[in-house]
Amino acid sequence: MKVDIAELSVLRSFVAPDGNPSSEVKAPKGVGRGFRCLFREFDNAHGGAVANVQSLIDFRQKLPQAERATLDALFLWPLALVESEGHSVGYLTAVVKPRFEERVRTPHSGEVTVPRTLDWLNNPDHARAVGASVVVESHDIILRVAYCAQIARAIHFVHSRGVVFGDLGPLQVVTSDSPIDVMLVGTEFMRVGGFSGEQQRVHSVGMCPTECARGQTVHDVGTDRFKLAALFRRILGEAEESPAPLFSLGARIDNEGIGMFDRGLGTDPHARPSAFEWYSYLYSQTVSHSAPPVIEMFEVLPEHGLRYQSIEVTWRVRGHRRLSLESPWGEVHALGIGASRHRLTLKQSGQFRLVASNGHGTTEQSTDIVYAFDPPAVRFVEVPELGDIATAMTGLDSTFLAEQVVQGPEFNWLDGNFGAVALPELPRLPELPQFDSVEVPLRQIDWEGLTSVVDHAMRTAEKEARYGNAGLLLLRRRAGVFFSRARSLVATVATAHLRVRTRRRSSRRH
Amino acid sequence: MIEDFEIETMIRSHIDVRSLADDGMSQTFEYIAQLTDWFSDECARRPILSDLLVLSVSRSGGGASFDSLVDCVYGHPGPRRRDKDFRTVLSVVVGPADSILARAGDSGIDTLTPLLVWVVGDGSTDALLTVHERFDAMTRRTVADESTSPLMFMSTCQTLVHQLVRGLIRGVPSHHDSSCGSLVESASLSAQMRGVGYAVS
Repeated sequence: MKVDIAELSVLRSFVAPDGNPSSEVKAPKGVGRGFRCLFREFDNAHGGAVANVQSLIDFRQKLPQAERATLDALFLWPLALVESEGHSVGYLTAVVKPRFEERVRTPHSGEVTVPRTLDWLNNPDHARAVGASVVVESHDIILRVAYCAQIARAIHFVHSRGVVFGDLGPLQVVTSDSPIDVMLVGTEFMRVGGFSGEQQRVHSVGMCPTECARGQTVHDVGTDRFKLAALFRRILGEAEESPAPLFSLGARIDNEGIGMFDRGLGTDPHARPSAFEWYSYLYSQTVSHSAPPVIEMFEVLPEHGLRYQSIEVTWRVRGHRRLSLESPWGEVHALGIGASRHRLTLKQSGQFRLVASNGHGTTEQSTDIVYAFDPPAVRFVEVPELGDIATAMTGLDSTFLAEQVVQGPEFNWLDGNFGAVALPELPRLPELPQFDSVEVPLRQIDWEGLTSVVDHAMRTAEKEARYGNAGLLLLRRRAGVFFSRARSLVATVATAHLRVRTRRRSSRRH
Repeated sequence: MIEDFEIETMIRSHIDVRSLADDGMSQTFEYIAQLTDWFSDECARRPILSDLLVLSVSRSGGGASFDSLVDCVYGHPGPRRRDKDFRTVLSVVVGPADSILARAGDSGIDTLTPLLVWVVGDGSTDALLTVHERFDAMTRRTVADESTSPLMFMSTCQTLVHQLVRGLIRGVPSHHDSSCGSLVESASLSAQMRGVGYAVS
């Protein structure tokens, strides 16, 4: 359908939020369902733009009635082309309903009515300062999520019917708070699937997808998805920052949402969440925030550990606005909404508790008891040469360690551990007699046998020492056994040695 | 792991307005006052404007008399956002011919920035070409306005601001300068200027 511009009766002219000159006109007969229409002039009425708007008009007319009603509720869709002397100069759409408008105070012109575009949602301080009736605080994530869900629903509606929205941006969306609703305006850059004509490609400020950063003219579902993520990032992020760093979302949305932004703003168009994925996620967030939070999983890995070991606590929670983790030793860690894990040092056995809350209640869950075992004491025993056996049990030989350990001679880090968990000092060895067969050549001693005797004696003594004073007696007894065996061994060797010398002497005499 | 993405940085565009008039020049004052009042209202009506555009007015003495980032940014009073980057995309000079001619040399206006010179008061038409030649800006329009009303000055500035904002909203930051330059010398702007003399180069 085409309307001649001479038929239009202009009620008022104004500049639309996106800068386009627009006029409110009396609805020509057969166009739209209301008494008024919006006449939007083409920015650049080239053939491609006109043909594209015509394809949008045709698309709408082919929709079943129910779907067309949904389309009209969500979009200011082109209804008819407007011609002047046979040339298309613009098109007609429905008007923005009053619930999408805001009355604000201006310093010099008094009160004015403006479309409540997303920049009002993104600047609550500004809205408050000029007396706007709707001020959505930046921390009111639940309400903001609801607006985002509505936007995702609208974009899904066109995507699922093969239409690319194109110029999605903060001035292309108007909002209503009662009921919470959105409407997308500035639709002349939409493109119906299959339309191949030349078309202007634009990206609203702050909405340029990564694949268009160098002037490329990509305009498809992938770029729409990027813009969707960028738009949500601005709505859900900190109002003070423009554009809000993604990091700031960590305190506002959960880990799943962070992951979706990660993909949505990434360079791979195919990995970006679809409008339907966004809608599902945002809708589930809205639902989960209308009841106390749900803790789906809460665990500690490893389940038990050594004292002072680093452990990781992980969880999966839905519908929370606040989250804290309490440790068995009384520390309380306030966690970001988007956090899903936390590393800490295991200091004491006990249960960890996760407390999640929102406006509807608090949910908490505890782990099983996580045991913190004391690490075993490590002792270094320097096995001396045979003659020095009396000084073998000297405990921790820090001089020796300093030469062997990369970290150097400082062992202060050991103090705490040993103070808490060290075993009793091994008793000094009793005064034992020294070997008296000094003339025995060392090469004739059975070192393997002697070493195994020493090892056995020391292992047993240390083991027994863990269980109290019995170890002292055992150590003495084992040491006695060891020395008697050693003495017997040496005596055997010495006897053999004497025999050999005796034989040599007697053979020389003969 | 949360990363931060390289999303296009928004650099504000700056319109630099110079009032080159002697103190007490009420006609020039009226022009400037109407411009700043209108811009304040625009900022109130459109929250996004403070993210896109800065308008400053400085007097002949050099002091700033108006800065939209300080005087118009609702909900963000004070100069704490002034450190953000901005780039001058349009210079506007307003004043009587003799004041402009006396101060044009030390105005410090960047020759690469498109310039609109609005000569007000009696004798402005006679001085039009002299004033036009005095500035070195590569793209400039000089208008001789002998009327006593800032109406045309306002409509011209509004057109320029609307067109500029429209381009900014459409996300063409790399073409700020050229878009302002083409606006200043555009035929559509000339068509608005009925009853006044102007020179464009």
